[in-house]
Amino acid sequence: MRNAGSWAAVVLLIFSALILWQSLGMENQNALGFGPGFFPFWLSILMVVLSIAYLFQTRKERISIKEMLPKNKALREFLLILVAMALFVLTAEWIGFIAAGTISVFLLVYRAFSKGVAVGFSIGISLLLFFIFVKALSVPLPVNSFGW
Amino acid sequence: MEALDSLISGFAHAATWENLLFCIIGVSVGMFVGVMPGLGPVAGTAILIPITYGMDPTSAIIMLSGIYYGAMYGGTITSVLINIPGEAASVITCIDGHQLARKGRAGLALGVSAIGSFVGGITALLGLSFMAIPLTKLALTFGPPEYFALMILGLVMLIGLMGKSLVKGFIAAAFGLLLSLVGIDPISGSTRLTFGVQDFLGGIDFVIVAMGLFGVSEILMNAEGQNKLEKPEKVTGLLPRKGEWAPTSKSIGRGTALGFLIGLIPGANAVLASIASYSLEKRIAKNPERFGKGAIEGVAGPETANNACSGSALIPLFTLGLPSSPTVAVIMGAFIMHGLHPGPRLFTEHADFAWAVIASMFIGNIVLLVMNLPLANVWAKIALVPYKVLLPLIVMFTMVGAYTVRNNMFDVGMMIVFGLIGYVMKKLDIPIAATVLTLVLGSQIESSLLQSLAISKGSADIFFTRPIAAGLLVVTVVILLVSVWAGMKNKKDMLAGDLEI
Repeated sequence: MRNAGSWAAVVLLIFSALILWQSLGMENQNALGFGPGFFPFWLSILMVVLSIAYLFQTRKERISIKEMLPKNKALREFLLILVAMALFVLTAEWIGFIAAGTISVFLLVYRAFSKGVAVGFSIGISLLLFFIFVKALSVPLPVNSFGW
Repeated sequence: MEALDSLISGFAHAATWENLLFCIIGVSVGMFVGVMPGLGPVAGTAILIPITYGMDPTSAIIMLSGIYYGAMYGGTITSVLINIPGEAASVITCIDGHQLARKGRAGLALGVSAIGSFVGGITALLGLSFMAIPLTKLALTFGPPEYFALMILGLVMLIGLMGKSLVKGFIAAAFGLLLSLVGIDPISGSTRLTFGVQDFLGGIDFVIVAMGLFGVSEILMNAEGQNKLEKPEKVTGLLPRKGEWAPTSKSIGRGTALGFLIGLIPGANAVLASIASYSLEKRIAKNPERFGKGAIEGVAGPETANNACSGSALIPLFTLGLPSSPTVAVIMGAFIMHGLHPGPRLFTEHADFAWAVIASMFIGNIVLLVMNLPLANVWAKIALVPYKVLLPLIVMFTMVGAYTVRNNMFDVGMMIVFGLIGYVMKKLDIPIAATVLTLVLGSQIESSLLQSLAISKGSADIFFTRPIAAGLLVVTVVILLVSVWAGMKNKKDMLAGDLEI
């Protein structure tokens, strides 16, 4: 099964079934009238029906997974962006915003500039955003034990 | 008179130095978003919502609205000068606008666009000002069944007009509704669909979903194709010559009327308005063969129509609480985030706010006219900022923005997940706009349904025995049938996709 649409339909079907299963554990009716499970139950039933309809529709409308995913240089760019973002999420609360931001920005620009410029650019952007948000807008950002 | 008095008092609020400053910042950012080919108005607005957290709600919405309509002006500049549309509604302007630029008449194309955009924008705002009070009075007579029917109508219109497939549209809408249910049920207080994850107890924040589905997915899509920008054409002579005023004015008039009407229809976005206007101009032209070779009507009509459409799209939002396009849905999310609920009560409970925002849009349109006429050359140079410089800034801004929603790194992770989901949805032609719309309206759809059923003791008859609700549902069914017919006849391709992004 190389059809991306069919895979998406199957994932949706599983997701809908999970929601249906969760909604069965909630009250459908209570003293107030309709309970918290009423809407999710019928909505998940609708999602199951729509997922099945989509699965049938994808038999006519084929989009191969290979066609859908980026290729060569674009794939590298795509993955680099995701890695840079994931690294920020995993490290920012531990090493602080400026260090995590510098690493993420460096990953995004190191191939576009010389190493020196890339390092300077990465530190510059992180410091600039830190200044704008923390100092100018008083918005808290994740910091390390040194406060940055 | 009531509208005029309210509008005058709105100007008094909008003209404070703080609101003026945020209006100018908003339209400038909007222009920037419009000129940059890698960033659309939905993503731009979604990414910038978090920086408004600490702001006064009036200033915040004035700024975010400025981004919305400012982007409609900005998109034209790159279309004309370098043949790359800054945002989707300006795609059609590339055809004749760039041809005019190649003939050394870039100034004319930009001048006419700016004037047309101004006329279209101001007319739509006058429509909003004078239709707001009567529509609000009508909407205040609505009970839960009417509201439920109205929201379903808006949703079906959006799904019917966007995307090639009704099934995909409904999947996107149901997905958004499910997301809106995550967290604590406001009526019973019990937790729903959290799968035991503590961070889901507060629900999935709309801003996180919008930033992921629109912002991050757009960043990922851009990784696939970065345009190499050519040197912009020189801008001279901004006004039409003697014989060109009459056809230009007529096109602007037609574009205003067409765009205004299209903007009132949920799902019919600014792209559709500009395409419809271009088709109309070409159809009624004495020499249609001039189109594609630098016809001024091919620039004046569509550019006017897309701005008139963007302005009139705010009418259903302000009066009925019904967002009619993705960007308007994002702005509605911002309203809710600031504790304000668009709809009829906005004009009774927060009249100062509503009229100040409307008045600020008049001011913003004047600022944009100045920015576009004498400063077009400056914006054209800004469009040449390399994407490699812009990308890290957008990525970092997005992540910082997501973090500041609840000072929680889990939200940033969720935004990335929604970015990937948005990327897949775009690739599979599943309309993201429907997900965002139902996420915003989810709690209202559920509460109006449950309240209606509670009134009728569980019977669905209530939707068919009350005339307004029944009428709205009949229109819904008709639209649904027409959409099914159009889908079967393959007549929906022109409208397909999340075009406003």
